[in-house]
Amino acid sequence: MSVIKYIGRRTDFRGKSMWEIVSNLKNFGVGRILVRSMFERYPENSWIKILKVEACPPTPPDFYDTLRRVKITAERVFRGKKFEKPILIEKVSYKTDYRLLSKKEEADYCKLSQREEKLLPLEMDLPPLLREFVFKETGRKDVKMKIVANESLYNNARRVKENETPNCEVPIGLGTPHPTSRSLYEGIELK
Amino acid sequence: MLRNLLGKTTIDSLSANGFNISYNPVCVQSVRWRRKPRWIPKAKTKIFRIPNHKPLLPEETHEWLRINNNYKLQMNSVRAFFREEVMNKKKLIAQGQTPADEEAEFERCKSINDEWNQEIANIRDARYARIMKKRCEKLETSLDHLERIKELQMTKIEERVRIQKEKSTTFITRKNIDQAIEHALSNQVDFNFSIDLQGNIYKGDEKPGSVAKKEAN
Repeated sequence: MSVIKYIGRRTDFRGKSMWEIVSNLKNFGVGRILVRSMFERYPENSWIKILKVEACPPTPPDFYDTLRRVKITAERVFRGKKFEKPILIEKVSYKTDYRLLSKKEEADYCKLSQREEKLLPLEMDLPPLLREFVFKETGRKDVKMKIVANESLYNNARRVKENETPNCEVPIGLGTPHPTSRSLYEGIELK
Repeated sequence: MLRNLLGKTTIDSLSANGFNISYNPVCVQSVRWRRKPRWIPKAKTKIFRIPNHKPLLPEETHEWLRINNNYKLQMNSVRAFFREEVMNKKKLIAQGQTPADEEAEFERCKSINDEWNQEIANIRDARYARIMKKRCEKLETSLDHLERIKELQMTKIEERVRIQKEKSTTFITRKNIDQAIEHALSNQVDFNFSIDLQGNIYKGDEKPGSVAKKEAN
């Protein structure tokens, strides 16, 4: 019996590449659901539903890379939130990190969920040194700066709109530690 | 010196792989940037060793994420704050409005700059004057020198001309060429001569003894 010995580095990927899965399915798996194991770390489920499959012709200059790829148009759900438009997966399709969801599992697994939104205030304090500079120039100590957050469509955090109250604070210093990580600050006085 | 006395040992097995490690039992100097080159393969004993990933502690991950997110938010906000400030200032300048204190500041800077420029200009003028003076002096001396050389050359030329003039009285010209030819034909000169062991000179090409001794002309 042959002995398998591994060399190299351990990988975080678990599963097969997209082409490995899709090539063995009827009609190239249109209508089936794929899950990327890297996204299974989140409490909410993420998955993609295959809509269309195209093969990738081997084209230079990355001849051997394209051999491992496949073009898949899919409906994407990330952390329980569905994308409005279908997405095209090509370059990441070679990653051996996908698994096929069995038809029995589908109904149980594919449930959309709503995450609690993080509402940020509109303004925050200036950093201490900048505050001093501004005070020297204008003589005002109450100057605040606008908060700039990444408010893309699928981001969970956004600034408050009218008639809303922020549900989190944005401190300029260290802030309050995460509830699970209070042990890191044992014996240290926090302001 | 001590190092030379002790000698330097090279580990052969390592030098065979393409890099040297000098080994000295007394003085060990660690060189931090020297490491195994990339083309040297993994050691035989380590080839099947697969390092495990270090486990991430949830308390550390959560705290790190929180701090990092806060930092990014703060930095983006500060950047936007500065950008807005600059844009406001640019707008004011485009409208032709500059704050009064800025104008005063500009004037102050300009006066200081002018002062510095004046100082430097004074130094520069003095230097130019010095250089000009030096150059004039040098030119004058060189002109004197040139004149002297010219005079010397003229005297030499005149001397040569005088000598040639003196010589020209004996030259054969168109006028006296017939006379010179006649003179040459009438006074034939025989330059042949012989000499014996006693040092007697016999003019002419005839053998000694056959002709009586001639006296030199």
